[in-house]
Amino acid sequence: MDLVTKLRSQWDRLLAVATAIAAAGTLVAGWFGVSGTPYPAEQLPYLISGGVGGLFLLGISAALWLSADLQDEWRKLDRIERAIRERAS
Amino acid sequence: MTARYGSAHRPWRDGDVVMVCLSAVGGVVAIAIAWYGADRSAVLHHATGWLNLAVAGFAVTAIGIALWLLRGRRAVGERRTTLVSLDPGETEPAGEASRPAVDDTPELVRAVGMQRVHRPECPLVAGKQLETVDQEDGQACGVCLV
Repeated sequence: MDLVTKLRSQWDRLLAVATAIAAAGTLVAGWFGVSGTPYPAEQLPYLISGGVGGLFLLGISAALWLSADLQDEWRKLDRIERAIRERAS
Repeated sequence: MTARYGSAHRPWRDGDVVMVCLSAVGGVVAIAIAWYGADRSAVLHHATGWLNLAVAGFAVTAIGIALWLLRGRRAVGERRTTLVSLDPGETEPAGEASRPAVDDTPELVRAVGMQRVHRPECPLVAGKQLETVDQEDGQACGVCLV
């Protein structure tokens, strides 16, 4: 399997990694924004976009990775079932 | 078996896909609106209201993702259970289920002084002194003649 094919077959895991990196970046950017102002009213937008947004991206990343694992398991079970049925026929 | 849960490629139904997409989009929209609103609020009391909206959007997405993963795990678990509990007789070709397993064995052996009949390659007779026997000369081995 060449690299392009492998990347295509693992697009969900690649997207999960990219989303996790984006989440880390968003959280760090939010922290920088919050630490740059002493006023809570100015900190809240950073808290929403950086904090909640970063957690949101982290959740998406985890969901993508776990979904990829579940789909792999599902396809493996499908192959096993097909092999059993072919053996029976 | 796959009809109940999605296709051969994924354990989810179309409704599950729509549900998780809607919850994710709803979360993004809520967080974006909350950020926009908080950015334009000069009063802390107003801004905290927008923060509540952002947390609510995140909660909606989290619930959607949790349901998505739980349904996937459940579908995989049920399918695994069904595969494991498949009746072996059901999967055998017609006519073979009732045929004894030893019929197609060209040669059977028995260790000297022992009761059971084995295939020559059976690990239970490895290294023992063997004699060639017929199927009727002893009880069939429970390991190699099942």
